[in-house]
Amino acid sequence: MDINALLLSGCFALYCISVALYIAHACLRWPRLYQLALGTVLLAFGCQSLSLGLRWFAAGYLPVTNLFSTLFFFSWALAATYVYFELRYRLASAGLFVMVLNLLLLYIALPRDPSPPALIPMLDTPLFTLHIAFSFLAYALFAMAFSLAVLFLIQRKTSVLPLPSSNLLKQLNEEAIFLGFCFFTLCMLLGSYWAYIAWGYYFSWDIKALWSALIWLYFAGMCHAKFIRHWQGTGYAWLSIFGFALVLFTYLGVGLLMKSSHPLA
Amino acid sequence: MFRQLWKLCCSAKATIILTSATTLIAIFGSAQIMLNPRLFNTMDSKPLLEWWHAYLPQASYYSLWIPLCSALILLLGLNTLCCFIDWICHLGSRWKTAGEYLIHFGFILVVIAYAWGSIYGMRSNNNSIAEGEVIAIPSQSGYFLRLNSFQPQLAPSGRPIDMLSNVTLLKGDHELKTTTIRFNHPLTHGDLIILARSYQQQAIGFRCSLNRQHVELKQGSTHLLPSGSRLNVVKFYPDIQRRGRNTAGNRTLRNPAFLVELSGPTQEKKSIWYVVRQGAPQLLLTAGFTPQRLTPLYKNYSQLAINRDPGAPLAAAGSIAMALGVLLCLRSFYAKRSRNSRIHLE
Repeated sequence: MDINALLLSGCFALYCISVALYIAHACLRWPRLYQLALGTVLLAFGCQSLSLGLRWFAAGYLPVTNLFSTLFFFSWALAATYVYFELRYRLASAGLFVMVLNLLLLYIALPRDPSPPALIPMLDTPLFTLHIAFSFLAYALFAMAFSLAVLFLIQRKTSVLPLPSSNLLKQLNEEAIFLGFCFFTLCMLLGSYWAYIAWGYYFSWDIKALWSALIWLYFAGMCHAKFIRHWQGTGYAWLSIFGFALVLFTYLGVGLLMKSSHPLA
Repeated sequence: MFRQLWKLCCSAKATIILTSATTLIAIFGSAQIMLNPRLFNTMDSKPLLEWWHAYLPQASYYSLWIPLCSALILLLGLNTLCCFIDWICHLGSRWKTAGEYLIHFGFILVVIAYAWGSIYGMRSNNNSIAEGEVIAIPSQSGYFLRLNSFQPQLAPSGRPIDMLSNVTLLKGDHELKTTTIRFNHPLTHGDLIILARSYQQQAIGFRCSLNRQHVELKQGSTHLLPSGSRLNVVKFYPDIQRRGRNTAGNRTLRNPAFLVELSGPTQEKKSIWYVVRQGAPQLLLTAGFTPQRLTPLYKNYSQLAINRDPGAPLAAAGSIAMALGVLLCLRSFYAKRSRNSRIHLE
């Protein structure tokens, strides 16, 4: 068994353990369990980062050119986002949902062929690496916003789970959307520049590019919605949920259901 | 009245309505693209307005979402411009939101740039050019492009990995720029962009053994025959078709033929057709023309895309403004968070 496979299995197992520990913490509310869960997540994230680094070094480019590697990178970005929010705000059980989503992504990715395909010449540029990195970081932040929005709605209905205050959840949701929008803007700008030097135009009417522009517009609108009293709280939470549905469709739906000539569709 | 109208134009609610409406229409549009791929797959081949004019008769119903979407984006651009002007007017008290408004400003520039490029742009996709050839840049009088050298890079499987075209952009006789075009490395000059698209090979003659010598039979080549006659290749046709008389077919090698001239010290020039599949005619055989082991001789043609987008420099400026805006936004966001300042609600 090579080191990469070992690291992959190791981080999957560690994420499973952390989810179990978070669930136990949600039920028993022992602070020790929470510390253990956070430690496990950090260890798993370390393994995943090392695995990503090794795969990057071996391939010579950021390996995000097949479904396994995009799912793996999405999972890594999600974990990075979670670690950021966790270390900054101590979300505790609020992070459970994101970790479950992360596990799901890894579960779908693991049975697939991890060997990266030969890089097509068009993708052999640092713009590709930056475009992809910002895109998945933005996707991960939108997923985080979705998770926080769901928790915000749950929090308003029940107080069974040890969740942060609705005010903090609202604030974190806004932060996730804002950061996601910033990263997605950079992703779009880099992608447009790349498209210009590769195809001679900076906006393509390809279906993936169209949906990406649509996501940018939607979240640009959302960044304005937080200034509207009527859209505060519940409204914003629902917008976050719908926004993540758009993101999921752009990431997976466009490639699976529609025909796109985008290099990463 | 004017103040109310201005407030509406600068309103965040107007932004939300416009972005939501554009999103919904674009979703509908993407469904149209999926249902009519033949029609919409050609959208990137021309600037938007030219495409719409060209395909309007067959797409009037299916493509209505495009002008609708464009109108909404223009309205959004107007709304953003009003917000930006309003911000400029209150710069003294709102300078801390410079990041947000740089994004607004960048967006306005990008919208104007795209509209400008869609109206006055040009896209030409299949410009075949052989080594040493000069072609005129489409829709740009006085500008020419010369291919100095061309080198396709092939994978062991035969798949092209890259195409290196060393080209010179000319304005009249004056050389403006010389560069090697390959994937992700186009030639840019002002609003002009020239990119490697593909390449093709065209048969230009045959390599053969003639009187124990290796020779190349191609247009312009001259060969001395054992009888003392001189054979001059006037023209080579990769595909000749016989319809009463010989006529040129297409550029693929199917039924190759040479039009040659035979001349000698004692005989007058004679034009003769040598159709390769039929073998050399008696007149040539008598003169000692017995070519053997014929193999086709190919010439590489680089296929280049030549686009002109007058809005591109403006779009680049808009992108830089947006990127700077994002960085400033991130900085001010964390500064606000550390101060715990509240946001103003409408």
